[in-house]
Order: sequence, then structure tokens, then C-alpha cells
Amino acid sequence: MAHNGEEFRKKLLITFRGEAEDHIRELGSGFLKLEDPSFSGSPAAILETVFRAAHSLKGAARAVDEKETEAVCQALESVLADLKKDNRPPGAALLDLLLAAVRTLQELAAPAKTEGTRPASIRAAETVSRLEAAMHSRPGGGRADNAHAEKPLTGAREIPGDEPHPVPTAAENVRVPLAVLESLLRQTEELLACKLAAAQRCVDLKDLTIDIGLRRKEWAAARPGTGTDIMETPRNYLAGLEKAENGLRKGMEQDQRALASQIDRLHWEMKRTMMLPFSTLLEGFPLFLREMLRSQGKDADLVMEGTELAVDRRILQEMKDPLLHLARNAVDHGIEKRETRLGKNKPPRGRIFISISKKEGNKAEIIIKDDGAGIDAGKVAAAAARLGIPDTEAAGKADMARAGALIFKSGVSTCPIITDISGRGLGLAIVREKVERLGGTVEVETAPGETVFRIVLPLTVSTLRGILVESGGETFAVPISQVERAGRAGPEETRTVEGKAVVSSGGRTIPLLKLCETLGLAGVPRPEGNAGCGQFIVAVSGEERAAFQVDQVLMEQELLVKGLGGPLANVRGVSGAAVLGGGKVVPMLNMRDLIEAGGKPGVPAPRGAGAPGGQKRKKAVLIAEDSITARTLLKNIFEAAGYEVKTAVDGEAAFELLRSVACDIVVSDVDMPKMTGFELTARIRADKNLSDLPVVLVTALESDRDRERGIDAGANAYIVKSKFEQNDILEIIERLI
Amino acid sequence: MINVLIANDSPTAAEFLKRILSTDPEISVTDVARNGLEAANMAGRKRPDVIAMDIHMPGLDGFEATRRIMENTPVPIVIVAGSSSGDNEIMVFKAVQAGAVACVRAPSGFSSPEHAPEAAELVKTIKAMSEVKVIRRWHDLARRPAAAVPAPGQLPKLQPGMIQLVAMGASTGGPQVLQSILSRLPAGLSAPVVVVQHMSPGFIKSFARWLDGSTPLKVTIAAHGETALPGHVYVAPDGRHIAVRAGAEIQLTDDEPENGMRPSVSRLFRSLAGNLGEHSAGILLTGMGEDGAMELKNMRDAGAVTIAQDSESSLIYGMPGAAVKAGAAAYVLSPAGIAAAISALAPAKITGGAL
Repeated sequence: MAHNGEEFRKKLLITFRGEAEDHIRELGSGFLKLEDPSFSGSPAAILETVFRAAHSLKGAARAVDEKETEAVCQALESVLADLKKDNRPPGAALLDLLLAAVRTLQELAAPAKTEGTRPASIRAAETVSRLEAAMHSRPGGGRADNAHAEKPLTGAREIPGDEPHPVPTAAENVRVPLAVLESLLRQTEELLACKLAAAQRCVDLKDLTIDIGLRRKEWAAARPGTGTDIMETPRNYLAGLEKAENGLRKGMEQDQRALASQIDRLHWEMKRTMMLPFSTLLEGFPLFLREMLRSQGKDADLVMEGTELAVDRRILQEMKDPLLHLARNAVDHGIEKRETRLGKNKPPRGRIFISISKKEGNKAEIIIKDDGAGIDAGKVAAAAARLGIPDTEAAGKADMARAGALIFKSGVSTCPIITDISGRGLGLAIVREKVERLGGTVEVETAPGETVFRIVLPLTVSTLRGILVESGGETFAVPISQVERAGRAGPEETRTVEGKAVVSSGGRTIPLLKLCETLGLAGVPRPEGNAGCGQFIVAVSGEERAAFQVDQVLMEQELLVKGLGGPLANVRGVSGAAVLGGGKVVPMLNMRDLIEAGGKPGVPAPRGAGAPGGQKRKKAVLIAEDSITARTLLKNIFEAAGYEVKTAVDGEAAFELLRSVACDIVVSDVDMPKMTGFELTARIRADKNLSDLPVVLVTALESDRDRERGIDAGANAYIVKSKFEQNDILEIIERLI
Repeated sequence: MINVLIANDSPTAAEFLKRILSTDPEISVTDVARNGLEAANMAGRKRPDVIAMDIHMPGLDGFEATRRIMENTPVPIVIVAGSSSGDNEIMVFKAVQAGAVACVRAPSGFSSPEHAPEAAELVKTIKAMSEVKVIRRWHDLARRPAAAVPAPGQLPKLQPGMIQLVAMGASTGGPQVLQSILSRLPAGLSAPVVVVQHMSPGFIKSFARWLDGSTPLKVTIAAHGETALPGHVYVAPDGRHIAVRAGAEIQLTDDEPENGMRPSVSRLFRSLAGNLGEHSAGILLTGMGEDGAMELKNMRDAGAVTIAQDSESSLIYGMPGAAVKAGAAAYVLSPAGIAAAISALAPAKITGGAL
């Protein structure tokens, strides 16, 4: 019985987590509606909904011994019961409290990562007492609430160490209507007919084989003059054989057609069950953006349109992070603070607009628009120049179009300081990568006062089509979305520019590379007679193009692609494996990596920023950190990456060291005795010898205020310890040195 | 086999309740309804023996669903309530007013120390309520309004002024009939009323509050050492016996349960038989078992006025029936009759200037 109990409890907990998500979502969206000044519906209906959500969640929590959740819901229930009774919508201060309670519930619902008291538990107790206090002070509080209704809340928050929480991940389960499942089952059953037909063909073939065997014996036994017409038998027999073979072949062709259409239909329907409305992707956005805006002292309306459009769930999963990133950018870089906007004669509340609409050809267009500061083309060009990205088209011209393309390049960022949220210049590159991988495109239009991102995506994940090519004796598959065209060029079409081979294609001049060379394979030498470069494919990635010479372009076909996984997941240039018809497995190439790698010096390799090998001198990193554990950890990380490491136990010692020893970068803690990281940074900037020295602050202090202090002091990057990851810090160092 | 319908919109809570109930071999959870409307439909279609219902559900809430079910295809309904939340719990008794026969606390999770007793209480209540068979007739009767007022000739000839205290004991079906009786009493009743109502732990305060809102009399939870005043109703608290001493002083004790109950009607009636005798009135209302039957006889023997609720209006005729069988009740009346009797025994004094 005890064992049975365990099983049941685990199952119950899973049911609870799914249910809790629903209720918490209802609470969040209900409170947000109550807060929305443009909401015109009845507050009473919403109060009823959130009350019931709190009540149900309370009951569910009780059943699984989630006492803290139960307590918070109990407190919520009481407050909401009161509001319901008076039919009074909550004022601004109370709404803040209610939304904070929702956040606490979200935290409590997340599975516990560590043992012991979670910070969420402490916050839960806090939330409960604040809600109870709100109840008791109601009569007076009511009036005070209304007074606050006009004033937007600024960044001053009571709960320490607050910062916007990540959007909760989509549930692992999907609700599918029973009718759809029944239809799928029926279709699968129809495939049984194909199975039987295939079995029948096998039987027929077997009969044929036996027959042939018998005849062969007959002929072996037959001798001239035995009465059998030697020529007759084969002729008749061949005719009969031909007929049987024909019939079999026609039958099999028919089978293949039936099978193909059945499977395509089944596939299509399955994909349909995987479709969800776009709104599910945007679920946590309003709450999340609201918090971001609040913490930065900004105000904006989030308007969403067309969100009922159904999109393949896998696409939604992939697009969640990119859209989140674009929305964050809209808040971080786009929407300005109220005063700034008023100064520009803009309405004090900004506007972030997200819409999705169907386009012809089974595509959808997602637009993210904000009426904020717009992208500063000059800043973008400067950031790109800093990285050494050559401007091949219009050197020196800073215009909007170039800015549009440049901001998607990895490493380009106009943010004055790198933090874990923005500024690392990786976000938009990843957005583009994900969009392209799904077979879509992304572009940006910007003007002072508006920024618009336009993403076009297919509505369903289509089977991948690719081109098979041969190079260096090996076969490779290339996704069709990454190939613009294939061509053939004779010697007259190829030239050399600045020592590099180029070829004309589609009115442009693009670099010409050998595929096998770029892949690091030894090429099969071309027979001398065949002048010219022979066949090539033009690979395209965003704005970039390059032609890759191959031995042969084989064919275009549907590909079954599998990821490589494990230790092969990050191989440059290879994104997976394709299984061909005969069962052969070939590598699936990632042309973007190859375009970037093939012959463009000065651009940092996109994946896994490695140690600065090949440099003549090791770069020196100065670590200022009073905790011996942290200091040792950092020292090991940097030394393993190939840097020379100097250490100091506090700010003063660090500064002293800098004056005598040349270092290339300083990585410093903030909280140190004798001189804090902020002070150290300020001193470094003030010193005429050291003022250009890059400084990275690593700290436990999370709030935006501290981040601003870091900026003010002159730090180049500000990393929060709890979010610290080894690769992050190495990448940042690499970028700054 | 007792067939139970669970009505609860939380899948987690419903699974949990189902698991607990299924541990009893006599109980079978046949259905789960997700909202009030489903509950009402299933009650009609499947005819369960008992319904375990949550109060707050989408669409039709517990109260509405109770009303509808009792109107169309009455089934014993047990309200399974979440943790207490003050004003909110009055909702439970609104459902009782609509015809729910009992209320019980939703058990805490498996890891809680309270889980075992609370789960046991739930199972006990569900099983007990499944015994209520004649629910339709009872409900119809209960809803009939003033028509049930007995004709003057039927009322016992009672001498006003002698009665210093009225004691009432009830179990299953008690809340409704108590509300029915007390709501007909005048505010100026010249005697205090002391009530023992058997109830699942945790609900008695809300019960008192709900009663308080239904009657001109002041209803409170009795406190030890308090003097019972006219025009007031004192309800015995959870888990303590109540007795009345001379001078109408209330005593609460933690002695052993009697008849398996604490508070018990027997304790109350016995104290009255001994201390107030003919100056008291004892009334035994609907309920399972026999708690108070013998002691009502003691009161009658001591000269007190004793009344038992009639079988027609009793949800369960156990306690009053035992009293009648033992010859303990001088009168057997309907709730309206009982109200009239009390008013006659302790009439409101005419105060002030009206002449």
C-alpha cells in the first residue's frame, strides 16, 4: 500500500503542476486586465474569475501539501472576497501587491532546485502578511489607492533583489480534441490496408521466384529431341514472366501511390494537432514586460493582434526566445522614460505592438513594433567597426539599411554596457539564426521614433528539402533554404580580386571557395583538361553570399534529418545528419558557418569562443576578489582558457598592482573591503595611464540601480554572479580585450 | 455499495478526494463533475447515493447546484469545504439552507498530521449521509412555509413564565431546522436558548454566524462561565461538552465523549434535569443515533417541558424517535409547532410604554 501511495502522490503532483499553471495564468491575466486603463468590461466578472482561480488553486494545493501556496491563495481569496462584496476594483497599490502575489505563486510552483528554505518560501510568508495588512487597512487604504491610480509607479520596490522573472515555459502537455484523435486513429488504421497490400506483393514475388526456379530445372533437364520445343518454352515463358512482372510492378506502383498519399495525409493531420494559437506563445509576455517597464521607470501599452492564428507548436517553441528577446529590446533600447518622451513631444506611455497575420503561401508574418527611440544607425556602424566587420557594400556610409543588416551580426551591440540581459550582441544573431532555421526571414525597419521587426515564417514545419552535393569524394546535404542557386562557371567567369577568387552570380561578385577545402578535407584533384571551376552552389545566409565549388551537384530531394547530439552538437559547419533513401547517412551542412569561415579575416568565429591561440603574447587578466573561493575559481577558468592571471584581494591592492604591472583587462568583484569595485573602476578611469583598461564587474548585486552605478563608474560589463556561466565570462573577456 | 459523485472543478482536489474515499471498500466514486451544471445533470442521470460538492465552481456554484439538485432529483449533498476563510464560509451554510445535509473540511495532504483524522471524518460523513433515504419528502416539507403553523387548538397548554432556559439538541439535518425554528422566535424571547449541534470540526463558528444572520435573537458560541441571557442563543463550541448550572451559568468541560459525541446532547440535558428541572424545556431534533434520548426522559421526569421533532419533518428520525419510544417527549411537533411552543413558553415581555 505504501508503494502504491508513492505512485499516486507523484501522479497527483503532476496533475497539480498542470492545474496550478492554469490558475496562476488566470490570476495574472485577470489582474492585468483590471489594471489596464483601456479595459472596458465589467470588473465584477473578472473579480469572480480570479476569486475562483484562487479558491481552486488553494484546494488543489491543500491536497498536495503545498502549504505555502495554500496560504498565499487563502490570503488572496480573502482580499478578493472583500473586493467582490463591495464590487470595488482594486487600486494601483493593491494591484501591485496582487501581481507580486502571482509572481510568488509562480516561484512556488516551480519545482524546487535545492533543498532547504527557498527564497520563494520567505517571499510567500511576506506576501501573505502584506495581503493581510492590505485587508485590515482597507477603509483608509481605499482612498489612498485611488490617489495612486494616476501616478505610474517608479522603480522603487520594497522586495530586495528584484528583477523581471523569466516567462514560464510552456506546459509539456497539449490538449487535443477527442474528435481529432479519433480521425488520426482512423487514418492510421487505413494504413493497415497498405501493410496487407505490401504483404501480398511479397507473396506474389515469392511465387514468381519459385516459378522461375522450376522452369530453370525444366530447362536444365530439357534436351533436344526429347519432344520439347526448346525455343518455344523460353519464348512462352518469357511472355508469361513479363506479364507477371508487369502486373507486380503496376501493383507496387499503386501501393506506393496509396502509401504516399496516406502518409502525407496522416502527417499533415498530425501537424495540425501540433498547432496552437499564437497567443499561447505570448502568454507570459504582458506580466513580464510590465515588470521590466516598471523596474526601468518606463510606461508602455502592449497591444497584440491576430493572436488566434494557429501555428505549429514546434515553431512556437523555437520562436519564444527570439520574440522575448525582441520584446525585451523594445523595452531596453526602444521605449524611453516618461520624461524623455515628454521632452520629445511623444505621449508619455509608449506603445509596443505585436501582431501576427497570415500571408499567402502558408506563411505568417509577425510584426514587433515599438514607438521608442529607434535604432541609431551611427551607433550600429560604430559598434560594427569596433569589431572589425568590413563594410563591403558602402564603406563608411551609416544608413538605415546597413544598420538593419548589421545589427543581426553576432557581436554587434549599441548597449553601453554588457549585462546578462542585453548588450552582448548575441541576441539578434540568435534570433536570425532561429528564424532562418525554421525556414523564415527577419528584417528590421527603423526611424527615429519607431522600430519595426518583421519576421516571416512558414505556418507549419515543412519537411526539409535539400540538395545533395559531392565534394572531395564525400556526399553532403545542404538545406534548400541556404542555397540560392547552383551553377556552372567556365574559366572566363572566374576572376581574382585582392588575391581571392570570385565569381559573378546574379549580378553580384561573390567569393568563390572550394567546399571540401572549407570543410578541411583534401580535395580530389581536378583533371587538367576541365578548365574553369566547374559546378558550384551559391550559399546564402541573410545578406551574405558565397559560391562553393563542388565536384558534382547530385539532386534535390526530401530529407529526413536527425540531430547529431552529444559531443557532436557544436561542430562548426555541420548542423545534423540526413538519412537518404538507401539508408545512407550524410552530414547536413550549415552554410552560414562555412560562409563566415571561408576567407573573412578579422571576424570572430561564431561558435564557442575559444582561447586566443596563435597570439604572440598571453593576455593578462587581473582578478580583484576578496573571497578566496571565487578568486581561485576565476583564476582557474582564465588560466585554462590560456590567459595569464594576476590576483588581488581587494580594490586597493588591485589598483596598486595595475600601476606596476601591465594588464589587459580587470575582472573585479564589487563588494570588497578597502575599495569597492565601483571605486576601483572610477579610479582606473581617472588614471591617465589606465583609463582605457577594460573593466568587468562580477557581483552578487542584482538590482538595476547597481547596474547603473556600474555604468556610471565606467565599467564595460556587469555580470551577476548567480547567473554566472563560464562560457559567458570568457566570451565577454574575449570581446573586450 | 455507496455510489458517490464528486463535484469539484480542481482536477487535483477531485483525484485526491476520490483516492481517499476509495480506500473504504463500501464506497465507490462513480463520477466526477467539473462544475455545478455537470453536477446537477449527473445527479439526475446517474442517481448517486451521496454527492461530495465543492462550494465554488465555475458556472453554477455549489449553492446554486444544491438548490437545483434538491429541486429536481434530491440526493444527500455533503459540502466539502476548503480551509476556513471567515465571511466566505457563510456560503457553506447558504448551501445547507438550500438543502445540503452536512459539511465537512477537505482533508489536508497526505504529509500533514491532520490528514488521518480529517480523512476519517470525510469518509464517516459520506457514509452517514448515504443512509438518508427519505430526502425528497423531507426537503419538500422543509420548504413549505408558514402553512405548517399548527392551529391554536393543537398547541399544548403551556404556562408562560416558568421556563428559564430552553435547550435544543440536533445532529444530521439540524442546521436547517434550527434556522427554521429560531427565525420564527421573537427578539424579546424571555429565556435564553442553549444549542448542541453535532457538526464536523471547524464549521461551528460560521454556523453560529449564519444563524445569527437568520434570526432576531443574538447567536454566539458559548463561553465557559458565561451567564445565559434571555433573547440569546448559545451554541456549544467544537469538541467541548456544555452544561448549565443554577443561575443559568454555562459550563464547558473536556470530559470524555458521550455516545461518541462531544459536545453531547445527553450532557446538556442531564445538567438541566439536575439543575433547573421544571424551569427548563428540552427539545430533541433530527439526528442519527440516540444522543440525548434517555436524558430527555430524565428531564421529563424532573418536570421539564420536553418536545421531540416529528418524524415527518426529521431528516433522520433517530434521536427524536428514540426519545418518543422511551416516552421522553411530552409533545411531538413540527418545526413551526416547536417555534410556537417556545414563544408561548417564554413570551417576549412587553417593554416600555406601550399599553
